[in-house]
Amino acid sequence: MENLTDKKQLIVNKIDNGIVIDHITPAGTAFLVLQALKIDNHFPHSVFVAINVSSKRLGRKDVLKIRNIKESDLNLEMLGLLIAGSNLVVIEDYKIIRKVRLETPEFTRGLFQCPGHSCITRLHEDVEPEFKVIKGNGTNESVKLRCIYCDKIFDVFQTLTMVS
Amino acid sequence: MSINGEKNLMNDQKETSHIIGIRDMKEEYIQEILDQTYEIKKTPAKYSNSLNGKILALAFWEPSTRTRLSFESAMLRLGGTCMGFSSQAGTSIEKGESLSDTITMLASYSDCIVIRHPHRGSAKLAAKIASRQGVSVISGGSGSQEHPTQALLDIFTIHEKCKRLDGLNVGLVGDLRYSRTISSLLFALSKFGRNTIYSISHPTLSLQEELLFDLEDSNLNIINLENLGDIIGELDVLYVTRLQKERFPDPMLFNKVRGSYQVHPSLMKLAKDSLIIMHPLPRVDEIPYAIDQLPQALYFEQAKNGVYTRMALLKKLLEHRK
Repeated sequence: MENLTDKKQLIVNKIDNGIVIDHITPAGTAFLVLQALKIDNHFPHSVFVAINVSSKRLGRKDVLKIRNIKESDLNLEMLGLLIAGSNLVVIEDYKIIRKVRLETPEFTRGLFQCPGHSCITRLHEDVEPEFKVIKGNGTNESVKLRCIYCDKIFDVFQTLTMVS
Repeated sequence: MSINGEKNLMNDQKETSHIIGIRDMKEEYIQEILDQTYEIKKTPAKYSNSLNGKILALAFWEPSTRTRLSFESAMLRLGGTCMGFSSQAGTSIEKGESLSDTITMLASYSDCIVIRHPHRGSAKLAAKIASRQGVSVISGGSGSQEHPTQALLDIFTIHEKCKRLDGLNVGLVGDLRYSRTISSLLFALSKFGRNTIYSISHPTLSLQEELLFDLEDSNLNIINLENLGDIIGELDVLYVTRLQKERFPDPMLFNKVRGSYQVHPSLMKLAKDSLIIMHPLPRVDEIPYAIDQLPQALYFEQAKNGVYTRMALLKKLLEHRK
């Protein structure tokens, strides 16, 4: 899977079909991304995870390569909430056919349950949880959501960590 | 659907106004309600046929005295009629019927629905559902979130007595964390210029983080204190809320701190003559009966203003409804 050709370079084999997500920050977030994509040890194809890789621009970053997964299989809204600014590269037959910069959405619906204990969306009602994205000071770590019903403000990362 | 009086069109293509909270309500809209309330209070009889033939549904999942009865009184004084329920007992809610279905049904029976529900976001969901039938929803309190009509009558009362809504020193005492009244009042005061708010509570009952987040860029200057005696002499308005024993992690702690949040008659020697003491009611012992005799005690007048304010609101929402 991986070859160390010399002390300075780590080479991960090219994938024939699938996706690459590069420039994932903060470093260490890749596992949360896999969790959000529901990719675990039962996933039938190869997954390459690089954590805490040196990056001239970002200092440290993560990289993900996932074989035989299509862009349409991904929830880009969720990825935008977790790793806005990262690049999603779609590979077909070893060629890059599309490159997308992930962006934070303004609203999101149905991806999370509201953590507010007294929120009306926690009851059996005709309603889908919906959140306004509150952008922080430009870092992915500070992206927060606000429930449009109960006004609860919460951190996306913390919510995913709690679920795990 | 439109929230808080602002009209716009949503997918349902119906134009419906709702009163869900003060946070997103425009100052001009509040001012219109206040102006109308003054007019109605002067000559209520003049409006006795304003809402002839209109039906107000009162959907109260939680107990209420003042909110429910003052809405009922307001609607009757405007010539309309009321229907509804004041607890879950005797309704299909006891059988497990959802809020969504209950509101759908009430919307087909009435022109406007007042809802009180223990869950945050309940009024907003009700508004979304009632909009499908073009029926307005007014929040009568949604969990600890907001109580917009209480805030409207509160600022009417403040304006009536203080003749202004800015440059005020306002002391808030008691349970500030779980009080929907406090949230709505602060949103209202934040829209009328610079006011100083003295937040006087036990740390476990201090203002909600979400509320502070929303007020961060407002004109309000919020100062936290733990003792009323430290500031009562500076106050123009003292707004007292009920301490609830069940909110304290330890009953011993409740007994220890409750005295700090009571308005003792001895404290009133330090207060300005022009101070007004307000309370959304019901009270328990945070304002002793001895205070009732003082000219500063305004809570019953405040409750009375609830009828005029709600008349103004109902008239505004329903008068031109076909």
